[in-house]
Amino acid sequence: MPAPPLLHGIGLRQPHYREFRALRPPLGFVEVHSENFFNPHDAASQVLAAVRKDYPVSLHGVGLALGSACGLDEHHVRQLAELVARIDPVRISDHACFARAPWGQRGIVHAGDLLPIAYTHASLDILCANVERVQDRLGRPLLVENLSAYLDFPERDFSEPQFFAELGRRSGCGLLLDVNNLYVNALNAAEPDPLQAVCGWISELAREAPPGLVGEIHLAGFSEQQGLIIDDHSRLVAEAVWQAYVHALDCLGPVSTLIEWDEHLPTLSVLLGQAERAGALCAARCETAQAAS
Amino acid sequence: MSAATHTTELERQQRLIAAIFAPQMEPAACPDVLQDGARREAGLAAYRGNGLAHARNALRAQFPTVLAMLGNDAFDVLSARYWRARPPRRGDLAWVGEELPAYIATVDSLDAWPWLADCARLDWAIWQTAGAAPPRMTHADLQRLAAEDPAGLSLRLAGCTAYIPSAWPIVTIHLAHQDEAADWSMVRQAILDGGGQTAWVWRPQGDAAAEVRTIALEDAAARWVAALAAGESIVGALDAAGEGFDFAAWMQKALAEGWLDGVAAFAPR
Repeated sequence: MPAPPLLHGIGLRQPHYREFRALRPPLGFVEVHSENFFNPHDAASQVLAAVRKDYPVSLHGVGLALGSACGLDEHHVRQLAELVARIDPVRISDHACFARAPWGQRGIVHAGDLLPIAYTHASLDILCANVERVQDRLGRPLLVENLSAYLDFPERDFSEPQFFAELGRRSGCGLLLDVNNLYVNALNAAEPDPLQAVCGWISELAREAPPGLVGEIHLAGFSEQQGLIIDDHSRLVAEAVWQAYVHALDCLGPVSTLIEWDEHLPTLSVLLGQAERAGALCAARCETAQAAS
Repeated sequence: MSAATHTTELERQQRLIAAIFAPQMEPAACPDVLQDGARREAGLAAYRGNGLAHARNALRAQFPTVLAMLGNDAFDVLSARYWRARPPRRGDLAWVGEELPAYIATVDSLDAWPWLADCARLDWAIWQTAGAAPPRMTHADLQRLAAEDPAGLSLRLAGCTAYIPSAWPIVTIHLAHQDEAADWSMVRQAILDGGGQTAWVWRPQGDAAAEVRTIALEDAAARWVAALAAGESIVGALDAAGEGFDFAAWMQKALAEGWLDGVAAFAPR
C-alpha cells in the first residue's frame, strides 16, 4: 500500500526562515501571508522563491476584504495576481470578511482586520461577486475562510455552514475551514458545550456542502484578553480543537491541514511537532479510507 | 441583489468602520449587533486593537529612527493618533506609513522636534528603497550617452535611489541612531548649527540582499541630483550643480552602485 501523501503544513514566518531552509522538514506544503510577498524585489520574496523550489506554497491573504460592499481594491487584486504568476501556488485563500468601506472625506479606508459580515442574501451576493472577480482575474478558484467574529449581526438568512455551502455552489470557490475559529466563536458565544457546537457546525457543513468544498483546514491556538477569546494564533492548538479536527476528518475525509502561529512564535521544532500531529491524524484517516475501499 | 439591500449592507459596514476608527472615549456609533453592553465594547475593542497593533508593528519597522528618537511609548501614542487620523487606504501594511511624515508635520505636540518629519521622510525613503526595482541601465544607454549631445539627453534616477533635502542634519541624526558608539554631542551640535543636509539613499545595484546605504550629499551633488530628479537635461543639471561638481566621478560611482535607470531624450517641461 503506498504511503499516504503528506497533507500537513506550517505557516512559514520570518524568524524561522534560516532554520527551515537548513532543515527542510518533510511537509506537504508551507503557507505564507500573500501580502508579505507582494513586492518581488525585496529580500522576503527571494526567500519565498527559494522555498518554492522545495515545497508547494499556499498563499493565504488577509487584505482582499472579499465581503466589502464597496468592492475590491484593484491594486491589491493586481498585486495578488502577479504574486500568483510568480509562485504558482498550490492554493490561494482569503477570508469571508469585509475591511473596506467609505469613511467621510478620507474615501475608502481599510480597517486592517477581518471584520464580520452578515449572513444575509445581500452579503452573499456581494461576496460571490467579489470572489468571482478575483477568480476570473487569477484564472483559478479561491478558498474562502470562515472567521472568528467578535461581533455578530442579528439579520441572518442562513446558518454559517449553509452560507458557505451556497457561496461554494454559486461562485465555485472552496472553503478554508478554520476549526479554531469555530471553537473561538463557540467560546465567545458562551455555548454550554463549545466542542459539541463546533462538531455540530461541521456536521451541518458536511450535510449541506457540495462534495470537496473544503480545500484546507487551519488549526491554531488562541488567548483570552479582557474577557474575550481572541484568535491570535499565539499558543498550542487546544485539545478541544484537536477533537473537533478529528470530527472534521471523519465528516470530510483527509484534507490538507495547516498549523498557524503568528504571535509569540515558538521554536520551529514545536511548530513542526504540531504539524506532525495533524499529519498523523490525517494519515490515519487516509488509511481508514483506503481500507474501507 | 436589489440596490436597496446592497445599500443596507454598505451602510452596515460603514457604521462598523466608523465605530472602529472613532476615538476610544466617545460612545461608538456601532451598527446593530447581537452583543450589547460590555460584550459589545469588548468586541469593538478587539477589532480596534487588532487593526492598530498591525499598523503599529508595521510603522515600527518602517520608521526606526523616529521610533528611536521618541521611544516606544511616545511612538505608540503617535501611531494610534495617526491610525485614527489617517486610516489606511490599502490592505497591504507595507504602505501603512506612507502619510506618517506629512502627519508628523501637523502634530503640534511635536513642534519641539522640528526635524522629526524630515527624519520620518528619510526612514520612509529607506523603507521604499529596500523594496524598489533594480536599476535598468543598459549598454545601449551608455552608447547613447557617448554618442549624443548631452543637451538633448537626461538621466533617469533608479527606483532604488532616493534623495531627501532637509533644513536639518537628517543624515547625521539617522546614522547616529544606527551606531551604538555615536557621539551625541556632535549630533546636538549639528542640530544647533542649523545646517541642512540632503540625504542620498540607495540599495547597491538593487540587490535584494544588500543593505540600503545613506549618505549626505555635498551641495553641488545635491543640486545635480535635484536637477536630474526634476527632469533637467544633462547640461542643464550640470549648470545647476555649478562649480565643484565632478561629473566623471559621479558617473563612475553611479554605474558601480546602480543609481541610474537609463538615458532618455530630454523633454523640456
